[in-house]
Amino acid sequence: MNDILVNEIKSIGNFSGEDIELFFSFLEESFIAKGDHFLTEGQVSHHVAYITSGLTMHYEVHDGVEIPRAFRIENQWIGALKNFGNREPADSTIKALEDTRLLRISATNLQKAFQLQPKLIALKDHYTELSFIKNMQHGSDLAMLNAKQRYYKFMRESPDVINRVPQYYIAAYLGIKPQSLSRLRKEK
Amino acid sequence: MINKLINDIKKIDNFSDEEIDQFFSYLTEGFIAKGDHFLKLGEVSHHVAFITSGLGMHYKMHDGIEIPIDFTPQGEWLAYLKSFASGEPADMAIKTLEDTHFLKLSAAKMQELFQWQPKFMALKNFYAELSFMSNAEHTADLAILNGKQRYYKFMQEKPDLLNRVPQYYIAAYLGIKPQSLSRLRNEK
Repeated sequence: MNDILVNEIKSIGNFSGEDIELFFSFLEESFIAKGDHFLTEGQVSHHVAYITSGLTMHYEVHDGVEIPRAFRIENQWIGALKNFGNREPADSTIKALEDTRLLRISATNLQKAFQLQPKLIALKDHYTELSFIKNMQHGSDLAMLNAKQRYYKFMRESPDVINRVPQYYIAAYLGIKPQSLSRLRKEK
Repeated sequence: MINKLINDIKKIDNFSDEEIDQFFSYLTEGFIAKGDHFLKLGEVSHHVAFITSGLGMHYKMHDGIEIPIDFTPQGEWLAYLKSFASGEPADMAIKTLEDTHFLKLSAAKMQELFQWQPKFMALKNFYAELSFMSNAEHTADLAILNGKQRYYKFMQEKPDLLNRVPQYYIAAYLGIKPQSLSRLRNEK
């Protein structure tokens, strides 16, 4: 069992050793090479996954350009909730920006786990909330801050992401023109 | 609206009538007059509320201006999970734009409910996901679409809100200058 994930689960709720073992019994190891997809557009999303190493990007293609919606690194979960398990094709896409190792669980098995131990729903709810809060923050930054403020905030809050993601993705994520981002980087 | 709530509950899991009655026994009726607050900036959020009539708005203050982050009409849940989940003071406020009636549930009662029947966590997760998805969509729009596209999309998808929310809030929500919004409205 992944120790970091076990400790995190223990901090989320009052789970017994058996609850945690039950949950882990449904996780399977998986690997995505850099540049490959966890989920492609139009596919139905069958899995959510915990990143043990690597980095992924949720994105949408707009006018032929990949616009990142979220970056996820080790010890975070990835998934496309909108399509997860409900058989609707995905309107966003997830790919790996580094070789990425995962512990994944299928929608079917997640439901099984919840039936066997409904308390485990708290895990999904916890991680949904985390992603929701993060997204809301990013949205309000896009609405309220100017390009320079957004960039500085991102530098401050996600220093580990900034050096691992190509600059044009960071620019697109922050809604900044690539030229403006270069200028901001030189200003530092 | 109560019927919508009951239907949502039945969709999520196989709850018995007794369980649904029990759920409703945890809710209490509440009312907030137009312009008053459900959650003030810096307060800790202790409640979530299902709106039976009216309209709520999440907003942040920026340079002395209220920037709406989300609108919540009847039939949806009003909550600020970031504060509700963590017990931290809210960095965002919620006020009503209309006289608003709701059924509220306190954090303590929610914990009681979850201990009694953990399956109800799936209900909370269902609504958290819905809000998350709609918020993620708005965030993506802010990063990807231009002012005109955002306004047309809002008109198309939320015609109801268009007539209930003051124009300056819609402009700020969409990250458009009020003058640009007037121009877009005249173009129609």
